[in-house]
Amino acid sequence: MRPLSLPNIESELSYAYLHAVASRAGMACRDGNRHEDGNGVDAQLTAWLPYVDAKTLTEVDIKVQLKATIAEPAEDGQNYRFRLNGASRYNDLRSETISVARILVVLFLPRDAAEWLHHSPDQLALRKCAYWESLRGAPEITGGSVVIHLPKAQVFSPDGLTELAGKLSRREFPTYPVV
Amino acid sequence: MNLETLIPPTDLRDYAKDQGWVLLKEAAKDRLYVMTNPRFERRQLVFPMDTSAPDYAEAVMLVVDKLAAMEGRTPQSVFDSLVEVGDDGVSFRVTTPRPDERALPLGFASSMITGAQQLLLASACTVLKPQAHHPRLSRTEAQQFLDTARFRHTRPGSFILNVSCPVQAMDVQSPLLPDEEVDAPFVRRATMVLHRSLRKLVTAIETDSLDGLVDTSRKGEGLVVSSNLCEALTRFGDESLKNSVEIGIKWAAAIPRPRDEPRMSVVRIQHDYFPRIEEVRRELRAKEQHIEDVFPATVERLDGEMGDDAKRSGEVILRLLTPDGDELVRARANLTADQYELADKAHMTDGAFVKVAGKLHPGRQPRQLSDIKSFDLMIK
Repeated sequence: MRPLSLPNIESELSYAYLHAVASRAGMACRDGNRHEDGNGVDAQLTAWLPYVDAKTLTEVDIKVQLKATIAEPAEDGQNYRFRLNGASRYNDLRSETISVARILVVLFLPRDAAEWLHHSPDQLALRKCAYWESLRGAPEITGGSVVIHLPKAQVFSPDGLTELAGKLSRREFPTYPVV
Repeated sequence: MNLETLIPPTDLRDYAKDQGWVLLKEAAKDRLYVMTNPRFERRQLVFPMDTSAPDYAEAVMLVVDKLAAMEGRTPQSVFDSLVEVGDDGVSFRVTTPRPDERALPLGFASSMITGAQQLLLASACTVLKPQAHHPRLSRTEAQQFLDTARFRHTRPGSFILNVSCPVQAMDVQSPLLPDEEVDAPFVRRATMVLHRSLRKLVTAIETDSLDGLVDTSRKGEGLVVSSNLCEALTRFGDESLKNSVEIGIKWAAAIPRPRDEPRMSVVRIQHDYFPRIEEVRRELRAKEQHIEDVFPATVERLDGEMGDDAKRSGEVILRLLTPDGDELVRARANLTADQYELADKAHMTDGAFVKVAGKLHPGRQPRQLSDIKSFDLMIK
């Protein structure tokens, strides 16, 4: 074990955020193992939903690639823009034939580390928030980096996560819009 | 290649079914297996039907992790079960009175493997032809059965020999045995015979009813316990170790289990049962007749003594070929000085053998060869 660098702390906070939101949504959250990490999976969520009919799943898994950044995101009004480095990480997320849904979750943190986490007798507050996007069906890239559009509407929140799990239980996979 | 990519989706499905999971047919249109289990409310197993799915290995791993957590096992042990999903398994666990026993004599370990082979052969022969003693275990189907059997990894912590038999490996028709279920594959039938024979034998020992077992087996009534099966079992006992053996039978998950059988059952043979099993073996072979014939043989050992006439004569060990040509039998014979001289020459000459006319008695090897009428040296 070694002292944490600032990027390490950003990463740990993103896991804490993920666990907190998933727990509030009643979902299990497990950090990815080494094998999964090799496939671009940092964590795995499992949601349990009420029985609707035999066609609808009651247990849904979601694999998460998790990022944290202190960079101020550019935006176009509807979306934040996030630069994802590494073609393989990107391509891991865009396959349309995988059976378990994968999403990208990006936590935007304040640039000032002192603002990341506030603690008082009333609350534990992690500043700013995370957004998610499914890259399923996104165009292939061969190298370098790619800019991902994260809809402002897709806040990674307990409600948003529950809604996503509901869609996946009906085998409705959100796809990446052609920008 | 990852272990999980070697597990076909149908094997994973069959394993889960065997654990009580029920397939939801509605999910097939999405090329998914979705399974539920009344024991685990709201839980589902979801995995692709196609091994070509890019995340197939991950999906299998996810299901294995979930099963392991729900069953309270390690993922590795679930994997081990999955790779044997199409096999009936037989395990032999040796226990000794000494808890710190860290080794077994190599000869005994070897004897156990021979015993395991003999048990499978004897069970297969009983499926083919139920009788108290099989004069030969080398029937083609029995041999094929043995050829399909596989030696599995042992487990740490005790001496365990694991053998698995792919349940669909053979397509052999043979008449049904008493109380036998219809349509079971040959391998399953042989495993069932093995299991039931073991249970019957141990119950007879424990209820002091071995006479009845011998009697019904000789008459071919009910499930016949063969002398060969008993002989195979005696190979698992070592007088100096005072060991017991637990024989576990695990049914392949790929086909329905025999009625009223748990997934895994164990028959324990305590060390004091082995002499009883040896008695049963002898009793079941008692009806065997001696063979009076001319036998080709090699001379294995010379144990004669020098006589007053300065000629050596007496006991030799021969390896005889039985008249049906299927079995090599070690037999002890007493030779005259002239015969002994020929035996000595045969023993010392490359490619030489003898032709001996006499009476071969039944029993454990080396058997007795008496009433020797002729003894000739044959050199190629």
